[in-house]
Amino acid sequence: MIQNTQLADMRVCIIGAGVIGLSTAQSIYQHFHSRISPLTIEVYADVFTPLTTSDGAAGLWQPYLYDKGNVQETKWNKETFDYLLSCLSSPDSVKMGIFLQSGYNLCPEPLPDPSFKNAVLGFRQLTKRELDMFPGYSFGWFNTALMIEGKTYLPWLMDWLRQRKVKFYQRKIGSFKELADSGADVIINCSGVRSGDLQPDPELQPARGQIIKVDAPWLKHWILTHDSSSGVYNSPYIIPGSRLVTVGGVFQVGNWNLQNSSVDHKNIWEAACKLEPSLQHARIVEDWTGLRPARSKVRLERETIRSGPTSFEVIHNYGHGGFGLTIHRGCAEEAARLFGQILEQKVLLAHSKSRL
Amino acid sequence: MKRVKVLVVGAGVVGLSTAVCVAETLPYCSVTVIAEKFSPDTTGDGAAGILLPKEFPDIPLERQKRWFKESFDHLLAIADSPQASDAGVYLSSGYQIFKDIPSDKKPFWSDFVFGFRYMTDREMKRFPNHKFGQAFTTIKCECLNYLPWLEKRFRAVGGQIIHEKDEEVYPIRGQILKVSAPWLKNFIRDGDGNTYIYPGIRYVSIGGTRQAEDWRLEVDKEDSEGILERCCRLEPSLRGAQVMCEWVGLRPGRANPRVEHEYLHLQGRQVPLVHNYGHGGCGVTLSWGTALDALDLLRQSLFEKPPQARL
Repeated sequence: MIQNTQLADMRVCIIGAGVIGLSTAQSIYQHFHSRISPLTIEVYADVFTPLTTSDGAAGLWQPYLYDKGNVQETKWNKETFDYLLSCLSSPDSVKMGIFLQSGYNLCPEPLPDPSFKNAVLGFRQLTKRELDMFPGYSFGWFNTALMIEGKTYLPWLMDWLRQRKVKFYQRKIGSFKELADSGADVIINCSGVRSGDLQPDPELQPARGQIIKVDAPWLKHWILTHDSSSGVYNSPYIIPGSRLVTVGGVFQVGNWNLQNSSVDHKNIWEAACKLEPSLQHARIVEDWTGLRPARSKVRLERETIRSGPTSFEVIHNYGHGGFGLTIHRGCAEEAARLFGQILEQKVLLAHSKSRL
Repeated sequence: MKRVKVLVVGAGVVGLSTAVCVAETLPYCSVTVIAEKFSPDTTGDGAAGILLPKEFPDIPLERQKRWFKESFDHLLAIADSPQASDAGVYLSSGYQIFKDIPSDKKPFWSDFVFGFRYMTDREMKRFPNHKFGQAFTTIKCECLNYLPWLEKRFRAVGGQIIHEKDEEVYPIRGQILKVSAPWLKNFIRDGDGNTYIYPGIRYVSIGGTRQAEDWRLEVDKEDSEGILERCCRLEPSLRGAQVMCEWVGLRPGRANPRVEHEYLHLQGRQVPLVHNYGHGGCGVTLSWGTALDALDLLRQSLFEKPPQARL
């Protein structure tokens, strides 16, 4: 256990102000502000809400159907769901942008149960009568999940952090060394899809997504379709939000283009209207494009980087693909745990030095 | 062939549904709707329009099942079509929760809604004062959209409309609040029928009251406070919601809906009279099914011999 008197003046610099960066700042504050004094937390980013990737996402809590053996990710996803569920009854729930919504996962053929079946509420298979509403889909599931809207959640997080004296700096960080040289004790890399600018990572690629936001307030369920041949999110989805409905989707690996494509718009719109005929009368508000930070698995680990005679600590927390909002809290808590490990080592180091 | 004149009294959801059924099915009938109130001033216009029947004591269960199933299937076809937003008809999922375990845990309509099941323990955790719950997906039909849509359909087959005062039934007063809470997507209803939260297209209807023989159409402030208090307890996020307005409607109360026919002796003739009223709080829920039933009764009465007039 670390005691107050043993460690003073820790400076933590977080790169990235999307949901990952902000929630990591929150978890570190929650676990360590009473144990370290003073604990300085700073967030550096070139874009803040409402311009981050998290802001454009529809905000449905749902992991990919299968975790491919990444059981840690399933655990972090569930942790996030339980955390958000507990926030629902708090007076802040509306300000956090959290609410429940039920919906349909549709498949063209029977599939094994998804990784999230026990995390969500009331998970069940769809009945034949329900499937009759969706021609072309012969199997699927119904459950109640959580929505967490980035455009509301991120400002709430920033307010929460500002009240606790976390500082924000709008600046593109060129390298980890830049922050280390300025005196950072620990750097937390939450830079999402552009992590490669700080440290090359061939496993990290953009997975471009384009969405259409429409006004269709009679829609009260999310509908996600799955097609194993076209891949995750390359199949239509319709996700009502608190104000507008998000219609997608595409998942274009390797495409860095942030411009909206009229070809994608046409394909997305046609597929969605076939899925939900009432959309034909919905008013289209705008298109948006974002780059999911896709990776074979989330990179959440420590790295000690040597810089001449000294070294500094980096915690990586990026590569959350299309499930950043879904997994954010579990990862933030894990990052805080890794931070705790770093502190333990510093304490041991301080002890051993004092004995010389 | 001389056309049979059919007069439908009432232009609420039951009246217009009946008028459309007759006008679209019987080409030899010319149908006129006569009513005092039209949308947006009918009782149905203020109702949330969630399809959820209750069991009536004196009507055979098979008939009640038929009423509900036909209404549900008719509206489902609309919800599943491009007309859904025009007609104001869409799917709505949610919970019905009970403070005490009801004697009938699986009501007769559970087979006709989608995905009827009991709520899990995790789901019941949100409602510490309730012991049991049912989850299902049903249909919501907003009369503010649906009635004008039905009227268009009625006129398209030659239906006529006359504005004139109609008969009265005993009221069951109901008050609701319309609040702005667009983050609410699922309905919650207490099985006692007095507390409910129904998310709609542009607002959430929260209620309610059931005051028999109460004709007051004015808003009662104490009722509003009671509704807000009970609903906020079930759904805490409502505390921050802005109240848009309050509304009062008088449900046409009766032990059972009256769907039957008789003959009136008028001007030397036996005139068939088909009743289709007294649906209480189940007007939208049973509108199409009872309209089809009324249509059948009309057909019967047009082709069977009327009883001999007593001289």
